[in-house]
Amino acid sequence: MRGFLILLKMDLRRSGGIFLSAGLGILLTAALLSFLLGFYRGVEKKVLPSFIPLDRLELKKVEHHFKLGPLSLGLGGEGIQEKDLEELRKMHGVREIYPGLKLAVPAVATGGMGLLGASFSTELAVQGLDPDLVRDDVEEAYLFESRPEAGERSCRGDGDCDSGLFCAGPLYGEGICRPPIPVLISPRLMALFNSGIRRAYHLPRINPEALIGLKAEVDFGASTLGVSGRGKILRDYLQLVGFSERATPLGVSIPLEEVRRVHRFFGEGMQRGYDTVVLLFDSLRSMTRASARIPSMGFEAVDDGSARLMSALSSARILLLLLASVVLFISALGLFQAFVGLLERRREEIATLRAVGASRKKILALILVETALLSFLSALGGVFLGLVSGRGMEALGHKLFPALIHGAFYLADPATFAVLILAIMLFAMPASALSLWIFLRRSMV
Amino acid sequence: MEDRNLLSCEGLERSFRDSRGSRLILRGLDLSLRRGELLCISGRSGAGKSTLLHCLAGLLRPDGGSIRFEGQAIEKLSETRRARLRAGPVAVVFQSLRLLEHLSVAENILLPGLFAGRRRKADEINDLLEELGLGGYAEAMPSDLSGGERQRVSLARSLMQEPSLLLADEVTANLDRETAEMILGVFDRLRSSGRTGILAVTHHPDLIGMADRHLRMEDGLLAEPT
Repeated sequence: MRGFLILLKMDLRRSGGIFLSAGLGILLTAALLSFLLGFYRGVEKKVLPSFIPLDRLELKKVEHHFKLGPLSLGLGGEGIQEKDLEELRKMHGVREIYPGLKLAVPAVATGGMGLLGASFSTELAVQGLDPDLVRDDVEEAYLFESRPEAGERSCRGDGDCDSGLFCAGPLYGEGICRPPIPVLISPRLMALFNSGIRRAYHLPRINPEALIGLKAEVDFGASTLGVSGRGKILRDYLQLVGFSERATPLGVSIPLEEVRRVHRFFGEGMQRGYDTVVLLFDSLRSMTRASARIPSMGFEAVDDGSARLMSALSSARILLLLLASVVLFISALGLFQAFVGLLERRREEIATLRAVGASRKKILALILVETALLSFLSALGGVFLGLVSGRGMEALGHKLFPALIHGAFYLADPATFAVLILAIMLFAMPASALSLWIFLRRSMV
Repeated sequence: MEDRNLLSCEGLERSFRDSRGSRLILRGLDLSLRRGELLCISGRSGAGKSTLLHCLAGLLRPDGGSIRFEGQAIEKLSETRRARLRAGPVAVVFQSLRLLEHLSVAENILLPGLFAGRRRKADEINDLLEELGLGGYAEAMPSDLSGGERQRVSLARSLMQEPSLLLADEVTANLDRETAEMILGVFDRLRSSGRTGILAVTHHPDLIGMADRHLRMEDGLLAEPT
């Protein structure tokens, strides 16, 4: 063993230049792949998840319709029941589930004067959430629960109510003094606002913490399009009490019972169950698998954008792996040729080594250890080069397109790079062993 | 009956396949060598002399026949054990086998010891180099040496093994008279020690003249010279 190590040391001391040229191909391959993989991982893990929740699926029950000529009979309108939730909970890879109820009437929120210097109105997508599921996401000093049915007292305007209470009820009619409806929003919505929307409308960046406690007027049954078709409007107030990953990604979440209360006001059907359920998965792969199984369970995705995006990402991953395999295979072929050339140059040396007592096994071990060192160091250098290039590209992107590109989009994931280095070594070693085997078979050494 | 020979071959056969088909190089060759004997083999180019030495050194496995070295059948040994023989009792000095250019003279001489797991002291190397007229060359690189000096380093590498069998292929070819005589002197001393048998393929008249036996190789067989 000692002799082998001495020989290896001597060989490396001599062959540095030759190894450097042979390792150049490996280095460039590793650089290219680490560059691409870093961007792929960045898009997958950083860019997309900051806007779109990629680990969740929002489902609703499939409604079956029987058509008999001009007649259409709808079935399955009971919504999602507890037994459905239990079945979904048992699915492989499901980390958590939480049911919700979407507001069936339009709503318009108005506010923002104190924060943005002007009042804005916006159409609002509202979802009802079970308060027990989001208790930890609510800021201290606030509550996220439905308000008592009976209010303090009757009112015709906010001035009739005590401080902290608002007059909630039919527009132009008699209302009841109540605290505002607690609201949770998704942190992704804030990211979307701060990164894109505010730039488009030239608005200031908002610190999410500063929004806590913010109130806005809401008109249920109203629409910015002008006509809601409901014939009446229910005015109430909203107050932001926290940010939650469980909140609807594009809209606001309020306590479930508040949604039911609005539905009762508008005479919407008294649904006992839920109309949507959000499944959180422990991995993106689990989600992709589950989305294929869900139709057979009588569910469909409310918005299958994230599932389609996942599917596209899976395809991109497969393409990238395919590309990586092809690049590695080609570089292994190049390496094989380089090693054959290297061995031809070392023919006399190998013959001499064999003549003075080196077995074929020892020579093979020597060459393989040299290859392992060469491929490891070259791959390490390549990964570093890819990393530097990726970071450079990221910085350039930020500089050239500040309005479009923000935040990190190149992910230097050590595990991915370790796998890449290992894969390169696994391709290089057989190439080296094969070239030596052919060399020893062809020659008398 | 016990084999008293250091080395013996019986019916040795070896063929090679090339573009013209299979060619039989060694055709049932018989050979024996005792300790303390110097056997010279000569013959025209392509007669099979180098193939014979490669087989005897265990670098090539014969197609037929047997080679016994110190009583053990070389052709039946594993490749690893045959390599171990070359790092120990069987030393090889081939004209075509050069020194490793990236190693110093001393490191080249130490090579077989590295494979055999033997440690050598610097004094031993210096003494041997002194004996071969290479005193002070231990740290020199092969590129600094002349042809004769390189051949003497090769010989020193073999002698460091303290071999029972020395296989030498044209060791005096292309050497100046002084260096050739020095090598002949080393062979003579080895033979006189009585523990080493030397098989030399050569056309050098002086070496043939001092040999205990001389055989000619023709068409893959050994015969007494006419």
